[in-house]
Amino acid sequence: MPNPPLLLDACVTINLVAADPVHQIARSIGLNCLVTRQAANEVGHLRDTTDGETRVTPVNLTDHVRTGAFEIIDLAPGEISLFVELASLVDDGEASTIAAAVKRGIPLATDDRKARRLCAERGLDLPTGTVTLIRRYCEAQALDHAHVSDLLQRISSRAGFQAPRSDPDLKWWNDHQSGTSNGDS
Amino acid sequence: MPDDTQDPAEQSTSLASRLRTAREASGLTQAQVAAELGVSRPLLIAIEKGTREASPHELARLAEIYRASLSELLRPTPPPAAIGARFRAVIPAGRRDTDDLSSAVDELQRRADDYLDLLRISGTEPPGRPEPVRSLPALDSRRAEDLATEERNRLGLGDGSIRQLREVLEIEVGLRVFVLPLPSPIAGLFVIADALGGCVAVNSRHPDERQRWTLAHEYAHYLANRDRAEVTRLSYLRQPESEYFADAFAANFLMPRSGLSRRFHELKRTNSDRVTPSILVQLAHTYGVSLQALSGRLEDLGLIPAGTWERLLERNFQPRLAARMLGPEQPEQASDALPLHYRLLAAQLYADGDITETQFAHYLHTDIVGARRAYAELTETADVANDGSPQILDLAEATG
Repeated sequence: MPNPPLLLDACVTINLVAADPVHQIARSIGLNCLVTRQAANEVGHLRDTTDGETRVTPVNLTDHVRTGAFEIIDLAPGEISLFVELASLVDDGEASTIAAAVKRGIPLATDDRKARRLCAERGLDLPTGTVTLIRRYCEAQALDHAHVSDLLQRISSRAGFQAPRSDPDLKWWNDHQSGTSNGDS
Repeated sequence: MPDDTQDPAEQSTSLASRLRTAREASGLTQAQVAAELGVSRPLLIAIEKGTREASPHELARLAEIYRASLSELLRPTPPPAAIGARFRAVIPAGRRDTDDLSSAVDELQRRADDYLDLLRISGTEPPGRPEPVRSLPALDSRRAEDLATEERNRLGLGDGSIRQLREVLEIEVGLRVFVLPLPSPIAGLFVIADALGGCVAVNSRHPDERQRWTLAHEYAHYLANRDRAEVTRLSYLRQPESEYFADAFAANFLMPRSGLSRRFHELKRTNSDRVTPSILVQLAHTYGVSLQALSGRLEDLGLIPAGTWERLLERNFQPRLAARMLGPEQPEQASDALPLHYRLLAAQLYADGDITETQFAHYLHTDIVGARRAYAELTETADVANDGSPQILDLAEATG
């Protein structure tokens, strides 16, 4: 039986790529991660720092598609009208992701405040976010505190991600980032 | 908060105008686009005129063809096309740098468009109290000095150096300052954009001191002859009167006679009454100007002999090396490409959930990670927490 699909917006996608290796995350949490072409175009670059020097690292999503981490999807003709309607409110990536989620009836992942509000207005279930996905992966792999901390550090430093204050797993994130976790938070 | 009260007719005109602008920016002809879209050329012309509404499928396809963001094409207000039109009247055709200059003007127009869109979403006005244009009987050096003194007094700047020149001009005067890569022989651009006011582009390829000079120079255009767009070149075969005036204003505004003379005499007195290159380096650093500009100003004020700068150059004097050897750091200059108010406005809208993270990145002309880093910088305060780490201001919480 194929893994259930989950639509990722560009912001969640780059966080997962920063976590590295992203294909292990997707496989471990048992999801078929879908990224619309418009969202894929907005992913951008990571920042890697070596010896105090920060360099821009391009993200080649095609490589990650090859490893099975993501699948890039095109909108179907029946999804275009909603995409155009939503694009007057949010960027193309969020508009296409929400349009696909509404029309296909599948869940999506976004940390974006405006996108989450729009999902609620369109009757979608509460989207999941980066922190919850990462937590699921860490727990599925039974990673110890040091490994979790390294993983979160990569997401913070390479993708510049800070967990949203309203995230249900914020305490888990903060505990592991600050090194205070005893593993049961 | 997004403005949902736009007139549908205005939105339709806006979309038509943006589609036409996007096609022109892509360099494609109407015939090429019509063929790609699978419609007749007259139909595409009708879409660009706003007499025929584009279907959702056509809009999505046009965004792909133009490699443009659909959400930007759907902005409910037309782009500030007047900026390009005003410059076309002053950019001579056939010059070697005409194409590069036109691209820079297009870029300035895009930045102005983004700024106007942020103001529309936030429902706010840009900062500054626009001053009426000054009616001057002649554009000569005496009037330039009078105007510079008047402006310094009006802005409460005294006769010292202006360290935060860009902030003063952006917040107090209401100029919108963009630092963009312009063709090397071009120092800056000035234009009035309706609803946004005076817009200045400063060449990011030039040193900080030159950028400050250009800013003060364009400020003179804003005050004295803002009705026409200006392209400021580093050199002219014959310098127009308005350019001579703007340079004289810049010299007086950045280095006022009284303050500069006082500091010069004080440094000279403490140096056994001798004028040495170190004094020039010190003063140039204090006023945030190049050594050449400082020397020219001191010569004009009769404080050093005419031709001093040329003699220094003949002796292989290297101003940058001298500045490094003599110690003073380079002047602080906010070299961010976008006005501070613009960046903070975008950050606040993002914090409030009025724009998405990717929209925030588009407004800052960076990618998602670049936008996150910019947001962290913009919200980091000068305060420190108890553990010594920088305090981060939560914009959403602070205003919630």
